[in-house]
Amino acid sequence: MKLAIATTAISILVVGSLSTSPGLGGGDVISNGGSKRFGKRPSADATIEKMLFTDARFAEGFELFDKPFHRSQGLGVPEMNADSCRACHQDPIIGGAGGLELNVSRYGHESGGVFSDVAGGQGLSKLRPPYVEGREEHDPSTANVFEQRQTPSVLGDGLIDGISDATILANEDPTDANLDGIYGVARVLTVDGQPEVGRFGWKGQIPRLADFVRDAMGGELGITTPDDGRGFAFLSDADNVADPELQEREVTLLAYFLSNLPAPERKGGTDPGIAAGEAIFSSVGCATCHIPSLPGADGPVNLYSNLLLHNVMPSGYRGMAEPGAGMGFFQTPPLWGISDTAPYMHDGRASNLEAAILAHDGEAAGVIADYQLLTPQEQSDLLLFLEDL
Amino acid sequence: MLATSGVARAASSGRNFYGPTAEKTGAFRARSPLTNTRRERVAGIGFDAPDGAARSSHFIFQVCLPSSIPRVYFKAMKTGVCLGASLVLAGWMASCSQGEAVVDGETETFESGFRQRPEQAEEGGGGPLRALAGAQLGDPIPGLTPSELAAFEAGAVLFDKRFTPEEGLGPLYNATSCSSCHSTPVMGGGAQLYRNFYISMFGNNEASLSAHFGLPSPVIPAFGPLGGGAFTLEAGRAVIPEEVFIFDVRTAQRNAIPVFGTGLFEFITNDTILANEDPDDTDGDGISGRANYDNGDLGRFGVKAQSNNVERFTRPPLNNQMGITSDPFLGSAGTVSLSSAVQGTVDPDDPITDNDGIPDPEISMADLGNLIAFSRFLAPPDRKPFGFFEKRGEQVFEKIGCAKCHIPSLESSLGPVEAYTDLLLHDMGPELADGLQFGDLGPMGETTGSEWRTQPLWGVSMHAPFLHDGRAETLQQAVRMHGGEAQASRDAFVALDPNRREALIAFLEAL
Repeated sequence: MKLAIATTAISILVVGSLSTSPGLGGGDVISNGGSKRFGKRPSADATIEKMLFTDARFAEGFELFDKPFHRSQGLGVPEMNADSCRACHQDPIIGGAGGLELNVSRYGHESGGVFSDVAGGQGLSKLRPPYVEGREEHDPSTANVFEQRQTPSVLGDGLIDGISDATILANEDPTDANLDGIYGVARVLTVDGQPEVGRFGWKGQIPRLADFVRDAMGGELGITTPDDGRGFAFLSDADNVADPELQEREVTLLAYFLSNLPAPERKGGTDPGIAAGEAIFSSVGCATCHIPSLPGADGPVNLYSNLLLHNVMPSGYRGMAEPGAGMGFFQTPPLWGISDTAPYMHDGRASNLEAAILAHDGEAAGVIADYQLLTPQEQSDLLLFLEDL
Repeated sequence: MLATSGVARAASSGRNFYGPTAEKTGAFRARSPLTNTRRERVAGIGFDAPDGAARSSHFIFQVCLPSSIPRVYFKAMKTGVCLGASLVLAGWMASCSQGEAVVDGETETFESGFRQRPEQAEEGGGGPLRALAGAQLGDPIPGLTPSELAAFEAGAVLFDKRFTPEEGLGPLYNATSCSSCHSTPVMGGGAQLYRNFYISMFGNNEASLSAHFGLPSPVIPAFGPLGGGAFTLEAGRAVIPEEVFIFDVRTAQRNAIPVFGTGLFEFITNDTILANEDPDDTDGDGISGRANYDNGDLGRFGVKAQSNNVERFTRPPLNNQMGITSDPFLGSAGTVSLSSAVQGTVDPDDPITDNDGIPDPEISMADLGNLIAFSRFLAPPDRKPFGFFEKRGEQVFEKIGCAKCHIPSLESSLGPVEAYTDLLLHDMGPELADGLQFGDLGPMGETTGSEWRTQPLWGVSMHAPFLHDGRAETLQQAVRMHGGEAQASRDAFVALDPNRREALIAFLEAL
C-alpha cells in the first residue's frame, strides 16, 4: 500500500532534566522547549520547585492550591466551576491561565444598553456534583446576555498586590484630558466603608490577593471561608458541610503561596526583532495602557499593565456590567508571560497573539489602526517582542 | 520520606493526588508538581527518536532491552515518519503481516505488529503486556515496530493538541483536547471531577430515549448553543430543557475513563468475552452479565461497552466533546473479531460533519490514524509487587466475589490481559442507575440505565474519583456504592473485619 506523506511539522519538544528535588524522588522537572504549548520558561519550574523545598508555608499553600476538594470537605454550593484552584490555573505551570474549555460563564439581562443582574447573580456554574440532580441553567425569559471569562494567570500577583492605590490612580485619564482617545479609570470599590482600588479580575473587582482567595474559593469551588470583614468571603452555602469549609489558616497559606508565586520572567531572546518590536510596542501606542512597569513595594513590577479599566470592545458589544465597570470595560491584562496563556481576551475569542491585537477596539481602535499601517516586518517584530515577554 | 515538615507534606501531596501506583511506576517522579497533568505525558514520552532513528532496525532492540533504555526524551520527530507509520495501521489491522508506506519519499517495508513477537514482550516488567521494565505510565506497549512507535508518538502529540475554533473546534464542545479530560495521573488517564460532563436524553420511557434536537449525541456541550445557529462566545450555552413536548428529560454526568491498556481489548476475541455471559443467571449466583453491541459488533469500550474498537471510540468523542469532524480511518474494516451508542451513533463508514464553517473533516486521515495508534498502543499501568497484605487482599477479592465480574485476566491474541474486567454489562442497581438507556440501534432497550460495563481495575487507584460519574471519592466508597448484581459482594465487603477490608483496598491500590 502506498500512501502520501505529510509535510507539516510536528512540534519539537525538548525536556530538561533537573535534579534539585530529592524529596520528590529526584524528579525530572518538565520544563521547557521549543513547543508552543510546553515549554517556554526553563527557570519557572525550577524556581518554584526550589521554593517548595525551602519554604514550608509556600509548600503548604501549593498543596492547597493543587488539592481537589471533595464533597465531604464542602465542595460545591452545591454548584461549582471546579474542584481545585489548579483545575483552571494551569498554563503553563500551576498558577497560570486556563484553556478555552475552562472558561466560566456569566449571564444577565440587557435592555436598551442597560444591564441588570438576574436573580441569583451573574455566575452560571459549570457543574453540580454528580450526586446532585440536573445542572444550573439560565432562564431564557430573563437572561439575554452572556459573557464567558478566561482564567487569568495569577503568576506574579503578589507583586501586583504591592502596587499602591496612588500609583494606579496616577495613570487615570477619565476625561481623556490628553485627547489620545484613551481614558482609563480605576475600579474603585468600597471595602469596610473605605475606597480601595481593584487590582484583580477582568473587571478589576478584587482589591487584594487575600480577597481573591476568598472570592475564588467561594465563587468557583463553593468552599466557604471565614469572615474577615472585607466582604469577599462566601460565609455559607447550601451543602451539608459545616461552614466555614476552609479555615483562616488555610486561606492565609493560599494567599501566601500566591503572593510568593514568581512572576513570569522575560525569555531574553537575542533576535534583534525583539528590541525593534519593543520600540514599536511603545511608538504605536500599546504601552499607553500596557505600561511596561509600575513601581511596586520592592522595586519595579514589569507587568505591562496600568491596572485600569478600558472599554476595548466594539460598539454594540453586549456583556456584563458591574457598578464602576460598564459593559465592554475590562482591566488591562498584564502581558508578562503572555505567550504561554492562549487563548486571549476576556473570553478567549483570540486564539493567538495576532488575533488578540486585532480583537482590540473601542479605546484601542486608534492604536490598532496604526498597527495595521505597520509593515509586515514591523508587525512580526512586535509579535516577537510579545512572545519574549 | 520526611514525615513532619511542610515540605514533606508538599511532596506527599503529589502522592495523594496521583496515587500510589503512579508514584511507584515513576509517573509521579517524572512529573513536575508544577505542571498540569495534561502536558506531562508528552514531555515524558520516552524514546529518543532523532531523525531517521525510528526507522533503524536496531531501534526495536533498544526498545525491548530494559537495560538499554536510558530515560531519554523524545526530542524531534519527522512527520513523514509519523504519517507513514499511522497509515501502516490499516495493513496491520487487516493482515498483521507486512506492509509498506512511503516515508520521506521512499517506499519502506515494515513488519507490522507486535503480535509476531510475544517473546520480546516478555521483557516487560509487570506481565508481558505491561509497559517495559523501567518504563513509565504513558509509555507504549512493548515490541512495537519503529513505524508503530512513531505513530504512537505522533498520536501523543495530537492527543494533547489543543484545537482552536479556526481549526474546527466547536460549534459545540466540552473540551479542546483529548488530554483536557484524559489527564489523571498523566496524559491518557482519567479525569478529575471538574472535568465531568453532562449527558441528557428525552423520551417517555427508558427504552425509547432520544438525544436532544441539534445535538449529535446525548453529550451536552458546556459551550455552544443547543439547536444549532451561529456559534459565538457570547451566545450562551446549551440549555438542557426540563421536558421536550410531553416527554421527560433525563440528565446525568459522566467522568472520563482512562485509556491505559484499553487498546488490548481489541485483541480479546468475541468468544472469550461471550464465554463469561450469563444473561439468565443459570448458575444462580445472582450475577448475570451480558455483552453490549455497537452497530451489531461486540462492544468493548466505554462505560456501557458501547464501542467495538478504538476507532469507534475515538471519532464520536472527537465530535461530541470537541466538535472535531473526521472521515473513517478503517471504518467497518476495523471491526474487531468480526463477529448505538452513548458517544453518538455513527455508522463506522460514515463521515462526521458539522456546520462551523471549517471544512470537514477537521482532522486529517493521517492525524486520526496516529491518534488511534496512541490509544491502541498505550500500555496498561504497571503493577506493584504484592506483599503479604496485598496477597491477602487478593484472596478476599476472590472470596467475596469481586472477581466474578472483575475477572483478573482475559486471554487475548497477545497474551493475558490483566485488566480485572469481563467487559460485560451488569445491572448495578437503582442507586447507580441514571435512567439513560443506550446501546445498539437494533433492538432498543438493550442497555438500561442501571447497567454498566465492569470497569477495568488496573491502575484504578490513580484516577479518583470513581464510578461512572465520579461520585465516589475513595476506593472504599466506590466499593460500598456497588448494588444490584454486586449487592452480595458489597455486603460481604462491608461485613469484613477492618483488617481484611484494608487488605482488599491495598490490593486494589497495587493493581
